[in-house]
Amino acid sequence: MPNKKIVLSLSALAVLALGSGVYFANSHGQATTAKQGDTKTLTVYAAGPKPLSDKIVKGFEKKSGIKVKTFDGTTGKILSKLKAEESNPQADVLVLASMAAGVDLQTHKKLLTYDAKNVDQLNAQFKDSKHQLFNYSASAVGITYNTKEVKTAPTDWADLTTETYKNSLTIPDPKTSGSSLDFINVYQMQHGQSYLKQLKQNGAEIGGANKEVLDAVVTGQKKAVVGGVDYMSIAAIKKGEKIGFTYPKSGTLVNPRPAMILKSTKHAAAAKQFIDYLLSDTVQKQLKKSYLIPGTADKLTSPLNNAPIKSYTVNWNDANKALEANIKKFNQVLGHD
Amino acid sequence: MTKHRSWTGLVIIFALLLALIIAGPLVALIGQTLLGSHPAELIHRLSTPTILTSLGHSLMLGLGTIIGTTVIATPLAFIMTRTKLAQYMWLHWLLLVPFMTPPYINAMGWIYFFQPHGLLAQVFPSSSLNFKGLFSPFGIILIMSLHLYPFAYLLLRNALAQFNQRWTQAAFVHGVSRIRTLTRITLPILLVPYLAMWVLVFTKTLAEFGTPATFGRTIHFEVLTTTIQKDLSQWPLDFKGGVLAGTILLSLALFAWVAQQLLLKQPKIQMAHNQHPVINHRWTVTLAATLIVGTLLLVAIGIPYVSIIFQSLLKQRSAGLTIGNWTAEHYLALLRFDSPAFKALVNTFGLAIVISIANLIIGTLISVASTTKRLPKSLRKIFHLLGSLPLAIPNVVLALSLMIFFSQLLAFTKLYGTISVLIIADIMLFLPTTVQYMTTALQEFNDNFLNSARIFETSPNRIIFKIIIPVLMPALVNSFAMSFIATSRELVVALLLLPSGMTTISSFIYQAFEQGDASQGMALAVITVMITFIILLISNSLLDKQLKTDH
Repeated sequence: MPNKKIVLSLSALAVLALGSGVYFANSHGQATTAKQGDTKTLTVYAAGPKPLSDKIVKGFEKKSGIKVKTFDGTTGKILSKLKAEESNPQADVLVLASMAAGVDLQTHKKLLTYDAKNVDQLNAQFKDSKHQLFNYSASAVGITYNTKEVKTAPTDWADLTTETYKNSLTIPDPKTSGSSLDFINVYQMQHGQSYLKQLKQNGAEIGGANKEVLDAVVTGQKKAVVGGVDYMSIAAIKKGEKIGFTYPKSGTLVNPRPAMILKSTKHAAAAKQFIDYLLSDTVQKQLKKSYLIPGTADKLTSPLNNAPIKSYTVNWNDANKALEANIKKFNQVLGHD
Repeated sequence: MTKHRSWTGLVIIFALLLALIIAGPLVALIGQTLLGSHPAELIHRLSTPTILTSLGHSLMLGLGTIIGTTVIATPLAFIMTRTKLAQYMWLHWLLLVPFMTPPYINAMGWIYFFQPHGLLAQVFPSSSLNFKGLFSPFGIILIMSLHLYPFAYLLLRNALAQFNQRWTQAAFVHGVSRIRTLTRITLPILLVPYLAMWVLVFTKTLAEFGTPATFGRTIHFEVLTTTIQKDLSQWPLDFKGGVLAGTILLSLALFAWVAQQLLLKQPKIQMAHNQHPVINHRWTVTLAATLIVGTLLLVAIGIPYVSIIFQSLLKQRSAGLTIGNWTAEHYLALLRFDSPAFKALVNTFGLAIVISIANLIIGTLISVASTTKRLPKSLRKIFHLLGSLPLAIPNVVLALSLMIFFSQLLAFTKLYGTISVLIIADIMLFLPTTVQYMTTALQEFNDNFLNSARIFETSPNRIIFKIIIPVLMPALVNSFAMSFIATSRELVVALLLLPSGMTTISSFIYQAFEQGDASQGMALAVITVMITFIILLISNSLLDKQLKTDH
């Protein structure tokens, strides 16, 4: 019965393939856990400019000899990944673009306390008294506009409610952009909802993540971004794109980008080294090249022209409490459903 | 006898394993929906505007795309069977190109072409033409139809190619009125292929993620698939909402699948063989056909490709179409071995090879098991069912249910968060295609070969390598190529299941659009499509060679 033999050998092959696949995946997993045991692989989830995080990770690997696995995504994606992995935590260190999200994790007691080396050198605005959130850098939000379409540069938020910007404003979606989430929350804490309503009347729309809304202005689809993040726009300006960026004179949000160690980490030692590295001079200098504001900066100035930025003072614990309601209001005013 | 029994046992174990992997996650998903929350909460959630709007949009998109593909594919199928153009095989292949373009790339091409200050506005700056109307539900239906018409076209073309002209001629000779001919002959014959096509297009549209995620997002057109992805990956998370939307989508898809299975059971109208349809040779007809096909190709292939290639060559995207704004740096960056895009390329093709091989082995086994007469009929049916069920599961639902399955029920395996879940998902996704190809090949397999081999050849190895594999080669190569291509461009499963530290082509392009350098994403897209074509060409030439040696 050769036919039977054929089927038999084929099925044996398949079971073997399936088995070896599962075994391979398993043993692969074990191999990495084994490695993690002797602090060889650190898992970092980072939001923010990917070239920068690649550079930081490479520098850290070279300096410490510890291997780093990274996941790059928006703040929203990182938080959701964290949630999905709740029963089997993978991440050791998080770098987020939203301070409110960091404080949220802090209030849920998910973070490890650590007295980092350079923590006292941080700008007073960025210090965390509990030593859990390490605001190694910051970015400000403002107005990104297309210079081919807009002849006179906007100077303040109110300029965007004029006829020039009718139906051509876009706002980064707080669901994906951490900095937008914080901006929308903090702006409402300072000034309420009336401005949002004026924006809606002027035809402003919620767009996608930071890069998507910037792209819309770069390609001329929209004229300006309300609450766009500065470092991305400045990088595009330096590349020669025909856009401009304004820090509103009435003030804006300078949003710390917190790094943190998760309590569930199995590699606390390596994670602590990573935090120290983030606060080291090497990284703090690299931040300037990506047009981020270094956490150790004495004064908050524009990475574009070193002009001082007028920044809101924020109590982040209050901000965390107000967050949900303010985002809901935002979606009610500007949302589509 | 004992040998026989152990063999059946093995087959049953295989069936159980497959059932666990294929049906298990679905059961977990439905269980999570029904048991995870209180019934009252469930009903309340069912009536939230988010779910209702996206359900409405999904259905609207599905129906719209059915109409769109029918309008496009019907004349096309006639042209490619009844006019002089039918003789050009290359045209036939060219018409299938839109389906081979990854939908998210296709949709981005459309956006960049028609948006304010897009490519069109740059080429004709003074024209007062306004394409705002395109950025609407109508636009997304149009894009989906232009992407999915190849399926409809293939089905209808086969149906029309088999259509026996003599039946209508007989009716004509006997003086049957035209209406009666239409209702009694033409429609009944064409009804089944049309119904099958509509169900297929509907299922594909429901499961589509790429187009709604890119084009749909710019016009705030949320469908079920994008809602699920949003609920699962954007802050604040709504896991329960995602699970519920997933169950709704799954039920819809299963419903369509059952309808499709019933349609396939319809007795096929046996057509006389070797009867070529009559070709219309009038030059006016040929001219009209050429115009129609030309316009279609220009719109369906021309617009997205010109726009993507244009974007990938720009130095400054705000400068647009100006002299000196051209660069190949985005392509050169892809060739640097340490660039993330190059890594994504390597990852993707490595994964695609592993997945296609596993897919081929498991798919072949299922086909053998569902056709061999040595197994009891009930077992064969189970295999057939398992082999075709994943066709009904939309990608995003599959990813979601595997997420639940591995992160909650099978959490102890620690497989969640590793690449193996992604591999399992992709193998499952493309299993039905392989099973379909292999089953057809096995059914057409001429038993005389085997019988004579059994008499003249004693070594079973030689029978396998000299007879069985060569005969099945075309089906094997086709299945491999198809699952390779499909794996390498799959988006939503990769977005939801990729482990940290890994990117694939599709997730890289998507991220480039969301966070990174769009021009580089477009360059990678161009290269991906080129590689897809090269693989298709290679597999085609392999098959051609074999056909030549056979004859």
